[in-house]
Amino acid sequence: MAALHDLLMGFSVALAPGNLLYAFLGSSLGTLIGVLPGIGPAAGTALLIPLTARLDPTGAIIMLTAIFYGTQYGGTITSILLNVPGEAASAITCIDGHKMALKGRAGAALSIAAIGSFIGGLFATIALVFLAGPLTKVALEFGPVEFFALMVLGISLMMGLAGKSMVKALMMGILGLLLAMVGMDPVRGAPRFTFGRMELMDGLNFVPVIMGLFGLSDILENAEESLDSTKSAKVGSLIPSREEVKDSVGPIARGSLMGTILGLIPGMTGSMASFLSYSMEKKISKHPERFGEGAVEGVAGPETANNAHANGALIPLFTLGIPASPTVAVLMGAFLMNGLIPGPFLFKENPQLVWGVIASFFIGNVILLILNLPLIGVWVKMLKIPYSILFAVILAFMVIGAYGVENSVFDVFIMLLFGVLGYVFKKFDFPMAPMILTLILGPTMERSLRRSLEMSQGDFSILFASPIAAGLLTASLIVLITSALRVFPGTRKKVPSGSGSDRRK
Amino acid sequence: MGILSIRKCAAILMAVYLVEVAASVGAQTFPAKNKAITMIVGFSAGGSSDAGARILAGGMEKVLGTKVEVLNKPGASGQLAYTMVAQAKPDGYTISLASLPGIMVSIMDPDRKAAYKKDDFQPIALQVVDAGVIAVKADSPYRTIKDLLDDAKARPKKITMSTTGLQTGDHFSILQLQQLTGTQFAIVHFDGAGTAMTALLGKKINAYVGNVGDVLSQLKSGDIRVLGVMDTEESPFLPGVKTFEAQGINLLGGSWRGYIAPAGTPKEIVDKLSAAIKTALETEEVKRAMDKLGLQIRYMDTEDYTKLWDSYEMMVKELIPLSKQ
Amino acid sequence: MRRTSLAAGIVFFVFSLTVIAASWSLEYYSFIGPGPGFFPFWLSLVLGLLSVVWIVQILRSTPKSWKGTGEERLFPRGTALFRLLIIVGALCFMIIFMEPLGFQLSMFAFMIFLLIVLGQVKILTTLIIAASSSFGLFKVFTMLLDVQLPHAAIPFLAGIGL
Repeated sequence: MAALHDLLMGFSVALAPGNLLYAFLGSSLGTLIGVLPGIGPAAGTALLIPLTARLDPTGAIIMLTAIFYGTQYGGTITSILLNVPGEAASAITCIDGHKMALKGRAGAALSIAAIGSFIGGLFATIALVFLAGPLTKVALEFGPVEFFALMVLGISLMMGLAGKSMVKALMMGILGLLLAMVGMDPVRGAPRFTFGRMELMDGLNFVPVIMGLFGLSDILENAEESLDSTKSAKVGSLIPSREEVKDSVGPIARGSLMGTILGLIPGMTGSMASFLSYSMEKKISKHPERFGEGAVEGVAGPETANNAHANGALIPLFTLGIPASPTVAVLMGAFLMNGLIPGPFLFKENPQLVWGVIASFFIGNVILLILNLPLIGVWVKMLKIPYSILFAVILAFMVIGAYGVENSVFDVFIMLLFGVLGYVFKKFDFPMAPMILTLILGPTMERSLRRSLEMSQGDFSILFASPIAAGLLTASLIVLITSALRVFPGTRKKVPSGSGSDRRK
Repeated sequence: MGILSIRKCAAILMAVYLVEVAASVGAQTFPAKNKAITMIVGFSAGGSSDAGARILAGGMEKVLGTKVEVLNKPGASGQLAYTMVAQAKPDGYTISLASLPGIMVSIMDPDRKAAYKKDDFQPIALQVVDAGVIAVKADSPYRTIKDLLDDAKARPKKITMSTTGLQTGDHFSILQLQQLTGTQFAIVHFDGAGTAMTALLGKKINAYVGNVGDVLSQLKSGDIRVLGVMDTEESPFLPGVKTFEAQGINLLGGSWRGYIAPAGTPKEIVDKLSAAIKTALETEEVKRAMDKLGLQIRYMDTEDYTKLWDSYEMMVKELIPLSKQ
Repeated sequence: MRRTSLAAGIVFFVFSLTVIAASWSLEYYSFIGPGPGFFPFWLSLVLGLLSVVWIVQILRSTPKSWKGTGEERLFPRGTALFRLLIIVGALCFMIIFMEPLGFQLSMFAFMIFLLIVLGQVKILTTLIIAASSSFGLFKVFTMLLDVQLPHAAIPFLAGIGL
């Protein structure tokens, strides 16, 4: 196999001491950036580009890509430990991950997340090496029509996220869709629900919203009891139990596949991948009521998916020269600055560099696993800080994080607003997962629909003309029907919603 | 009127004179050694607009001898940044990147509710031209722009053309093209070059409209054919691609990026900044860096740049209602 | 608790009405399909209906069935409420003063206030944590990470590096 031969050559490049060091540095920095709330992978990678300016192209790219997929490892940490999403794609991990931490299973959660992330990253990289060609063809098949159908499928999975009350879940789902429509209308340019504020022209910024919904609402809830406790959370064993490992196998496998495929498709974000993984896991689980109370599947699936997505998003960059997400676009800028144009011809022009970089993906993921597993003990010690101090520090980081997304105080206000809203929602037992799902998928769904109609100049039949789209839409129908049957009398199960958080003892 | 009032007048005149002296002294010593110049960039860090600005900032630092710090204020296609610079002190220490036609659209489109007008800005100089292009897939039946236009005339509103966003330069270029050639396309708006290019390669749309920088990779790999470039001269990055002018269509477009200061900035300071930009653009370092990124340097001094603004004002005014159909 | 839930239901309903009103002024349908006002209108309509369903569900439930869920009161009163308001207030302070006073000063005040009032932390510890969270983090973020946290807008303060 030619690919295997090239890959081995790549390893010889990647294992050179210099490049190994860069991979290590990049991974560490990436993890750190992921941990810091609000500084997302795109901004982090961009800001560190100048650091790599003095390096040779291969080293520079190795380091930057390591930073890129490294952030996916770091984002998990604060999500699980503090219920504050380190970055958008890790938000969904807060739901079950933090619950696990509250039950003393923080170490296990972090371990499973690290292992799943590793497997996901590895899977996507293997796909890059051996299946780049066919996978790229699949990615190209996804135009606006297929996107729309996929979004519909994703949103129909929301039904599965409902807890006790389908009514409340639907209300939250619709609220999410409405919030997704804030901003400049994608077809007409008319501002919608912007209250005349320019900062809302691009819509609500996702990061401040979820920081508020998860992190701030949690602190507010805890504030009901006093905050001066010098006690800290209990920390159980750091190693996952056999049962937890067993339960994680399926989600990790599915997450790897799903993340890689979604990463391939330009326009699909990491948060979509992790959220869809969560929704899917809950839907096919035999015990969906465990989700929201600390189900390890709710950590294993999404974390694997978001790492698979990050590594999968690199495939179109190499095979088509197209950045699949804004973060990869920054990476592409780094290529350009080093005088390289990414694309398929690079394989012939500069095989040393390309295969060296690809080999370093393997190495980078290994480094990250080795880095992160022992560090879990260190991170978990964070939980031992008395809450009387921790809460204030968390608030400080959230302010910085919310501000830092776009250098805007308005985003801090958004975080505050959604913090209060999140607190209120929890009180009335409104599940937040459906709202977040529609908030993530909503904009793309509406845009894809209207783009499809622009293509057909108003003709709706275009939506069914594509076999992929037709298939996805049919699947959505099936999901909706089976979810409806589960909920209505006859097969009703008592299912708790997945949004609340326990009091800190 | 009496002696008192004359004294008052004298005092006022004296004060005015002193302020003028102070201002010109300020201008002569601009920029002060320890005072940093803030360059506001209304686009996210890492994008091509930001990259070009940072390269220039680095070059200007060396020429002016003081720090030039880039401040990213992304959002609303640059509107947040433009608002900030319009309201800044006109002392030369705050300037901003300005992208045409984007900034002009935000000024002239009432729906954008901009907190500034054209007169709130003082154009300094033009830095870079990212010319517009029209591309089709390599195996497409359209070999020249004429083929594309002929088919469009035969089948109005059936040929799909992508833009990288509503009311972007690409969008306006398509509107202009339609006007110039009497054709009608089905315009499909995407979010940025990535998704639009994917749609082209996936044969979901017939033609791609964007900037030179977007198509470098695909042109090199032979996946696409560029039908023309919307500039007065051929692009060094697109060998063999003719301008639309050369093909009989007077279409000029793309992203023209320069720098602005708040209105009221003293002329001496504006001139100094403009000269600094010119010198920076002539250094080897800056030239090489911009070349690597596929950014085409084009310098225009204050006067020419201001004239460019005026011409854009007219063009945008005409096309805005069309862009909303 | 039943009453508060009813109130919440009414709030949702009124909200959906306002959204319907707001989407009225937007274009409903154009020749290339749904306009900006189309989806908001229908979505808020459904939301309104659902909130009515919820209200009906609440009304049909007996006051007894609410007793078993724990607290009588949904929202805290007294000192607990006070603590919540302090956090919200502190955040409002940051929002208002972060740009005029600059990050360092406002965060310093923010931390001191929260740590002492809510955390009841000792003075020395408070000062250390507050200082490192404000001045320390500022240096870390602006220098190492190139995140642009605001300097003070007041020239005198900016002059001394704040």
